[in-house]
Amino acid sequence: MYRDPTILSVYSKPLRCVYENKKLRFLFYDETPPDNCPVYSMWVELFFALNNSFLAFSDKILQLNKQPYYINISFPITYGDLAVAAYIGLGTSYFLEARLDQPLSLDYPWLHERGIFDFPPERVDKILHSRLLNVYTGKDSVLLTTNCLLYFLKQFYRRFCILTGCPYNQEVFRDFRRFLPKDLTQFSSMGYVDLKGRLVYTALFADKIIKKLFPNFWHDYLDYILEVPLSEALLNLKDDLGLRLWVAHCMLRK
Amino acid sequence: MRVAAIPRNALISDEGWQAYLDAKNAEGWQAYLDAKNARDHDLKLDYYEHDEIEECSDLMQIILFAIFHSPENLEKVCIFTLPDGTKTCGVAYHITDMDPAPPGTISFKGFEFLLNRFANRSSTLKIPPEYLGTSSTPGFEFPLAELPIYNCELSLPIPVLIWGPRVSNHIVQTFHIYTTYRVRKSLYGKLDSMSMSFMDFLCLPNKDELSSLIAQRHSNWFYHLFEQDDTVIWNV
Repeated sequence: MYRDPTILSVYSKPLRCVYENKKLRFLFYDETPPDNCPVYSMWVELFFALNNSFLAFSDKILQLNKQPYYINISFPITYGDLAVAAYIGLGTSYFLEARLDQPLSLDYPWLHERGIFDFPPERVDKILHSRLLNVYTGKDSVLLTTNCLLYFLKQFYRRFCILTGCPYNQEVFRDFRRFLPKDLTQFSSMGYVDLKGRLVYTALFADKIIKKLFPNFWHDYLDYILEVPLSEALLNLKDDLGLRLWVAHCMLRK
Repeated sequence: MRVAAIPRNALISDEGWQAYLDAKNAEGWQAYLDAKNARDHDLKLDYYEHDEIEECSDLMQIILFAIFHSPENLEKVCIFTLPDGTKTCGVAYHITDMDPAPPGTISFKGFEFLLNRFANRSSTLKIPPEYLGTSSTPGFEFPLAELPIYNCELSLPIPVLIWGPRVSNHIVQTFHIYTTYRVRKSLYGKLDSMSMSFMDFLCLPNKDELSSLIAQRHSNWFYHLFEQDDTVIWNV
């Protein structure tokens, strides 16, 4: 595996965006932002909701040591994540490959992605630069953030499968391109700015996807998944704006 | 001040909501039968003293947050600077049954069913006086002091955010008002000059808390990321 220390130090940095002249653009890793322009980091959030409840995942899965269970599963996007998302596109075959035998990396999941860092440095640079150039010019920006979302979903799911023994269900990912546009009740997403001033792309996955990803979770994975009724989530919103928005969304959905 | 609120249990499950609507429907018919000269079968919301329920988590108060879009650019919304310097991107209203409605509230003559929601009968939205003369353009007074709300223009509730100054017991619903059809063309420029995008609004100091949350929710930052030109920003 390609582990050039420069690449590692560059691509493990959190992605930054600057809002300048009414436009938002990605900053290069060593770029100094213009004066008086707000700079944002970018995050992805995953929520899973059944009819009248949310799923909370145990810290045994996420290993963040912040709380026992998490309804809001959030990841910061790094330059490495962006590079992988730019590289993979929305190719379904990427999502079908779950390398369950590879180690779990909490800090740099992108390091284990599809051999992108197996190439010689020149080739890595060429791929990343050509892809990122497109991103930086904004042509692929929105698609890219969608890719990031699915990329993190896959990472999270892969992690869940390795730690719990849950069978990796390729069908879900094969279906993504097919059913997402048709069955919007199963997948909702939005972008918002959170209370810490971060740009968040958040998604809510509903019943059909949950049942495919975590079959019989209420029997087989009791140690890892907790069902939190909407009424309880409503009482524990705290400073989580993402949860405030999705709780409102889940009220009276039908 | 009496404000409308809905029991929390009615909002958190479809069965609870259906039971609530059934009860409201029955209540409406009974009122119709009792008052022989009633014009129609009206639905009524439940109203409570605001101070008594402000910290009650079993009742969810409805907040209508009116957002006025610029007539020249729908992505921009009118920004108000209140006398104390606070900036807002809209006006928040409680729903009341008081007549006349006190400032910061709106009253409806009644509701009817529309697709499993309460649809309003006609009313008037009054902009509180502190919002009227506070645009960034000197001498310009916000021209929509009173705004007619037509039958079934609103469906309640469609929450976009849960909020509360002390307890999370407010369901906030945004009400988008497209000023193009509400003001004379000669005012378009002035309304546009007091408008900005939510992303720009978020850069301002002294923002009202609820306005901030609404702007964060509707910031639509994708739009700003998408609207790039072809300039190569990172030159490798």
